[in-house]
Amino acid sequence: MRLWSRAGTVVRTAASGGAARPPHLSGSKESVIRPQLRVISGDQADGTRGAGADDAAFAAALARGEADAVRLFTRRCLPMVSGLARRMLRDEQEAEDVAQEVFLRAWRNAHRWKPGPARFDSWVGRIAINLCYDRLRRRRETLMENAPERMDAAPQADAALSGSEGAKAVRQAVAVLPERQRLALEICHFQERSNIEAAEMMELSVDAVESLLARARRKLREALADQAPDLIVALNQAGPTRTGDL
Amino acid sequence: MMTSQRVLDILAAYGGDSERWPSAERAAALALIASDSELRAQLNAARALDEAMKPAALEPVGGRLAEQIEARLLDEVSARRAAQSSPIQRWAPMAAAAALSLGLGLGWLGAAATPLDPLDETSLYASAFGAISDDEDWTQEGAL
Repeated sequence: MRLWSRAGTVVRTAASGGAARPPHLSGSKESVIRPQLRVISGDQADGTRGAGADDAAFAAALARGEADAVRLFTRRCLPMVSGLARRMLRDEQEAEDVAQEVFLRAWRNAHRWKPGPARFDSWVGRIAINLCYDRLRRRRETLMENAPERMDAAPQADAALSGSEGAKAVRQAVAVLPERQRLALEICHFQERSNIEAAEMMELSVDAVESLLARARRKLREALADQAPDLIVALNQAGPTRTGDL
Repeated sequence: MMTSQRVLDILAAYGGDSERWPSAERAAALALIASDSELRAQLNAARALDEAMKPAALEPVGGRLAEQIEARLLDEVSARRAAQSSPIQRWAPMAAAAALSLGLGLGWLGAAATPLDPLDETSLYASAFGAISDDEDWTQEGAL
């Protein structure tokens, strides 16, 4: 599906590019924005992200305030920005506030973005992460000043979401991971972005991102072995891998 | 060259879905797994954890927020354009230049009308750096 075309940039839906596809939402009446939009150049057939020239054209159109570019910008980056903010802040309202701020800042500074080591989307993601860290810092300062003995209630809020005990245990285990591990997991696992994009957004090396991911998964496995052992045992007994599955 | 240890590292970090693996290593890792039963068992374990993690995926963001952000951005675009095309915006640089010229001219005229008395320079420095006489005393003490 062609949505926008300017300076050789074509937008279409990428069937395999999405992440986070909870089946229980498939029948929702509210329209949802899924992370499946990809900006790709016309000569790329593998659905990968466009190169710097495409991003530059897009950023320039955005900086000029072209309505199509503004709309595309929102739909292209909102799933990523919202996912980062929700995963880091664990507060829906605060995450929405941050998302709005990210888009305003990115639009106001789009003319400054230049093709270079970081892709446009990674640059936007970095803005989101920095704003989230600002919020978390302020939140910690407020907690220190007002109620130093109070525990962070966010994991409990996450656990209160609907679902089976096993699902609650999984959400809880992810929610209590250290911030950077949770962030790396959100980018690479749940948003299905590459380790290179995660490194760009988090301003780390690819090796560091890989290390964070490995530690996150190890902690999750340990936590689930304690909290939901039946889940892991059942899944491990699902049967041997067939060569055709590889 | 792909090694068993590297496959284990990949599984530990990226899980059992090869689509998430580093693309440059994917084919070699899959080939090695296909020939090694122990690696296949590790792949199964990684897939089990992937499956267990599914409930932690965030729900897709609603269209309401996207519409709000789009509307706000388009409002900002309109406001910026309106500001750039308003008469005030067009005349502002010229007005600033005129005000600067006027200020410089008046300043020059004022300076010419009231020349600085050389005798006042001492009091000027004294007020800026403290009493000059004190400094002189200090210098003399140091020299002793």
